[in-house]
Amino acid sequence: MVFPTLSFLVFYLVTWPISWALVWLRQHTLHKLAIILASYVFYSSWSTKLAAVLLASVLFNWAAGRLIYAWRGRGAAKAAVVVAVMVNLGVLGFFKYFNFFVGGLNELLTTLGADREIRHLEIILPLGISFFTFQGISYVVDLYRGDLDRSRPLVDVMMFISFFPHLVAGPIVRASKFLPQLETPPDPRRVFVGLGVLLIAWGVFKKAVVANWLAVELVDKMFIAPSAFGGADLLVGIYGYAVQIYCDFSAYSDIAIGVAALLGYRFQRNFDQPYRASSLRDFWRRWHISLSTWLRDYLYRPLGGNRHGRVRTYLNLALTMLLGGLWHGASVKFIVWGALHGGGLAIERWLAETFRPKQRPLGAIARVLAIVAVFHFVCFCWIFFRAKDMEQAGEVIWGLLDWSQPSQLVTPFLMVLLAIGAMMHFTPPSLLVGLDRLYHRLPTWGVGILAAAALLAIELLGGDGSAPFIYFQF
Amino acid sequence: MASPSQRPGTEDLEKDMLPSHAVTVVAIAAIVVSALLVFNSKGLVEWTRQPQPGPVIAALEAPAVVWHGWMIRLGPAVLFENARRQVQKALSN
Repeated sequence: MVFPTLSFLVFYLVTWPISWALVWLRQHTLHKLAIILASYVFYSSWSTKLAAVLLASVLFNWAAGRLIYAWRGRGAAKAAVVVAVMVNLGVLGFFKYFNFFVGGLNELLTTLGADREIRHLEIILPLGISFFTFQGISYVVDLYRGDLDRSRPLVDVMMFISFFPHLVAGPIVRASKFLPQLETPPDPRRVFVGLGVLLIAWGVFKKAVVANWLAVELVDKMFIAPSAFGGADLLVGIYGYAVQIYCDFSAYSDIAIGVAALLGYRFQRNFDQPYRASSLRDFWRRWHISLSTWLRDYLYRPLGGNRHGRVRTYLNLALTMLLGGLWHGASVKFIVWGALHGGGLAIERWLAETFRPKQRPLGAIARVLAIVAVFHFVCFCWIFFRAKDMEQAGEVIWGLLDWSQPSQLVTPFLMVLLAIGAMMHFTPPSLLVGLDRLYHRLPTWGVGILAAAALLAIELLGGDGSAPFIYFQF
Repeated sequence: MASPSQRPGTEDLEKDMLPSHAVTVVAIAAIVVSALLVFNSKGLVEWTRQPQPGPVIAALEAPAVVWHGWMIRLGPAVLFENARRQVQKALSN
């Protein structure tokens, strides 16, 4: 069940009135239970068996949370939180990385002349495991640190981890931000309907029209056989992927935030014009904000952050991003992608500390140059992220040097799509506020007609079918 | 007063936006669903014919086909389908 499909619409049209009816009947616990049930129905549409992994993760983190809270202030609490984090990471590691490490170990054994191989296991990766594992860790760590004032009942922990809008592809919601929202029922008089409807329509357009067409007409064609194309096509293909992945992933986040908003719940912003970043540090404050802040608070800072001298800071940055890359998937290409970002962040910090210790703001021209440079570095890293493997990434990079072939892929339609994607990326938040004001000036039936017209227009403009979101694989 | 990390939600997206009553969603959803049913009735039929439909969805197939037939006779489904074909053709070329 994917967001912009009829199946999801039907599912939501059943879930939404039941959820609000239970609020109206002052049945707060039943309201949460109904949303939990809906979330497991949503998840079971992919696999009923793997929903058991999700349930086990919830039960484990809830039980660990109770122990951590009961032992607060004692050494046992620290031991409990360490065990809880290790178990969470162990489960994630088993499902996601077991065969990857077995493959690497077998290669090593072969190199050492051993004639035995460790068997691979047939493991099916539970959808969204990277996301719900990080949320489970957020719960136990927030409790240990005191960011959450007390352990929460099972129903709250279950809703926090399993809530269907963020369940399979984020945003990664923080326990300390979301659980307080479950203390009282959502107020039906204070629902951000304008925001929700706008974000859903905005997201569906970005995904169904811009991202899908860019994937079909440009990026997928280019990455199937990069050696068939010259430098111009490869360069446009990489720019195309930069726009596609932004439109695809930010669309999922927009729809998730919108769907949750209409149910009366709030998530944090996940994207903030990332390609406007004038430094890599700035980029990671704007791209997949819920992951980058999670990595900062639950990995970089516990590693020591910037508290143990310059060299240790650079190492911590590099290690955090390396593991961030590995979080995306068990593959060398993701490790390289993370290492490039980590290395880039460390070098950028070293350059700033060495040559610009006063951190004066950049002048206009320098700022534009910095934005262009950061954008191209990010695009270079996307090659590894998108390529099938390292060999294909190498093919793309070498191909960029060959400008002898005429372009086969660049069409006016693609240029228009890239321009629309870029425009949507650079849309200032004030436009959304302006549209919200318009929403409040129009009669409700007028908003309904506009929303219907927008969805029908998207249906006309979108390609056939609905391609899965890129971040579903993580 | 709650510390920033304990404040419910983040509120940065809602900044300067105005809340409404949840009931307004009902009217908006009713219009959107009606428009989809009238103009995109073909999509409804295709949805009921998905691989491995559950019993509820399978039971909806026959009424969906009848509904789509009406929408073809009355015109909106034909109008929408023609528009879709023209747009897709223009975009594919």
